[in-house]
Amino acid sequence: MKREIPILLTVICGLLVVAAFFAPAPDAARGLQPSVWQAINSELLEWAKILVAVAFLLGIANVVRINLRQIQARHVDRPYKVVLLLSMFAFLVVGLAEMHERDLPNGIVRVLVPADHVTMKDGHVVAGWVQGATETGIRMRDSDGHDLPEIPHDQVALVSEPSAKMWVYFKIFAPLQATMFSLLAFYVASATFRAFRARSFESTLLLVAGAVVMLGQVKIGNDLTGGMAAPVEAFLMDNFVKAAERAIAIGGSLGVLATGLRIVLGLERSYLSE
Amino acid sequence: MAAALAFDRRWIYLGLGLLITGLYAFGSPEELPPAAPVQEYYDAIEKLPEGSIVMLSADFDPASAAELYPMFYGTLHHLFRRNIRVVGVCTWPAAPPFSREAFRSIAPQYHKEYGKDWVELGFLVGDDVAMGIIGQSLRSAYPNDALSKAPYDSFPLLRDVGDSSRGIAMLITISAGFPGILEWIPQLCTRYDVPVLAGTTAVQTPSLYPYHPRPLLGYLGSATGATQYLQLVAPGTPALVPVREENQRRMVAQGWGHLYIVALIVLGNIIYFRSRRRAA
Repeated sequence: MKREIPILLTVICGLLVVAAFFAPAPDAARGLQPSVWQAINSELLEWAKILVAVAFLLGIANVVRINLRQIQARHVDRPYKVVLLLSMFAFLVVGLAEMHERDLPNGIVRVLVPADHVTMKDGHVVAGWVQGATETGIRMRDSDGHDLPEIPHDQVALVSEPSAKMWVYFKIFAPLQATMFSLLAFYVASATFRAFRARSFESTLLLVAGAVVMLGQVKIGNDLTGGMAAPVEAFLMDNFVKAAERAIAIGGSLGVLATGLRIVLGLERSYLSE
Repeated sequence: MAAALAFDRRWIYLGLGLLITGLYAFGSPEELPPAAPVQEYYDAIEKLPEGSIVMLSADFDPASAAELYPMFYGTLHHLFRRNIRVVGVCTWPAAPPFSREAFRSIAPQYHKEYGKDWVELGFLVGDDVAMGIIGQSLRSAYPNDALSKAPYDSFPLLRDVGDSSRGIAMLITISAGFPGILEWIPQLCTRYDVPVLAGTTAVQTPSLYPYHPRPLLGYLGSATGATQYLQLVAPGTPALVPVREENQRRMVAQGWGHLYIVALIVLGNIIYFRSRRRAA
């Protein structure tokens, strides 16, 4: 039963999703209401969404487990592991504090969430934590947790809501990730010099096509080749690349279809670690 | 040959670094002729009737922001300038800050009202499954918005979209990989007849070719596509002129970077063939 029940669940869910795909989509203009298949499909998709969200949590738990173990074992990369865990939890704490600002005690909010500033039209600035807006004005709370008098919208010139989470994102995370990605250009430059060799007919073809595409892609390359690189590049991309991409897409789709069928029919069981 | 190829690779890095930073800092912006898919992207937005609802999906992260954020920024200007209503979504967890930054800075320039002219629904976990849910019912995908956490039906714009994605006139995705345009096409576009436009990284662009011109009406491929598009949009939008010029300067640096790499290929092969002749 340990095998049969999971396979049965997979088969039933797979068939239901396939059935929903062929049911007409809801369309108010044509009077088409969501069918029962789509209601089931929606429910299954919700479950899948929850599972993906849980996978995020599992991912965090796994990162903590692996890195803690290596820290305990005094791995040579221990300082980096410590930085990784500290950064992850610091960002998590700051992010959660900002998300749940209204429900947290004032002492924690004061430490973790930067104060907001509302500049009035007369130049006067009110500091505090914005709690939300009503139809008539902005509600704020002071550092002691007391509600401030509502500030009418027509008296407000500017609302500034600084965010530590966004500061970390734009000042640390974004530049670091962009730097990592841009390093690829340097590795590509080095690899082309060392590894791209016209050793055979096929490799020569690949090399020449690659060089033509690179030249045709940029204005200076096209100018230096007397305007020939761009049309040749367009010809290669519109014919050979497009044809190859279509073949890959169709082949891949047929592969997915075959695998899907095997799963739905209970023939493919690798997801059960068999 | 081994000696010729074995020199410290950091010289190659230094050469490329100096070339790119020097040209970016001191190069003058150059106009690029727009490619056909870029013109089609621009024309597709121009043809949308005023008041149409477009879903703009930010499917990227900081790693690809240099290529993709100018596309997102230019597209949002273009949509608001044309009085198109915009529903913002994200399928990448690191995308919302970029999306929020763009909406917050651009919407006030066109006096657009939140909830009526634009809504930010934010990140939805689940990759292509999430796209399937969005396609089937935007309301069940997002019971609340991302900014005010207010219920779906409290926004006039979302009430106009209704329950199904048939209320969406067009999907525009600025996409860096998985999940992105290749998942949106089966989950939303072909299934619910929603036309799509895309902006993608250079690496991903060839994978779009099989889907163009239908259902993909047009696309912006890489920083080149972004620059060409900004050239088309900027004339009627003064706020975009500095962004366009910055992108044009980037393209000069990128152009010489390409030449540098082609020169390295040629040089490496000259050394290779000379050493082979000597060995023979």
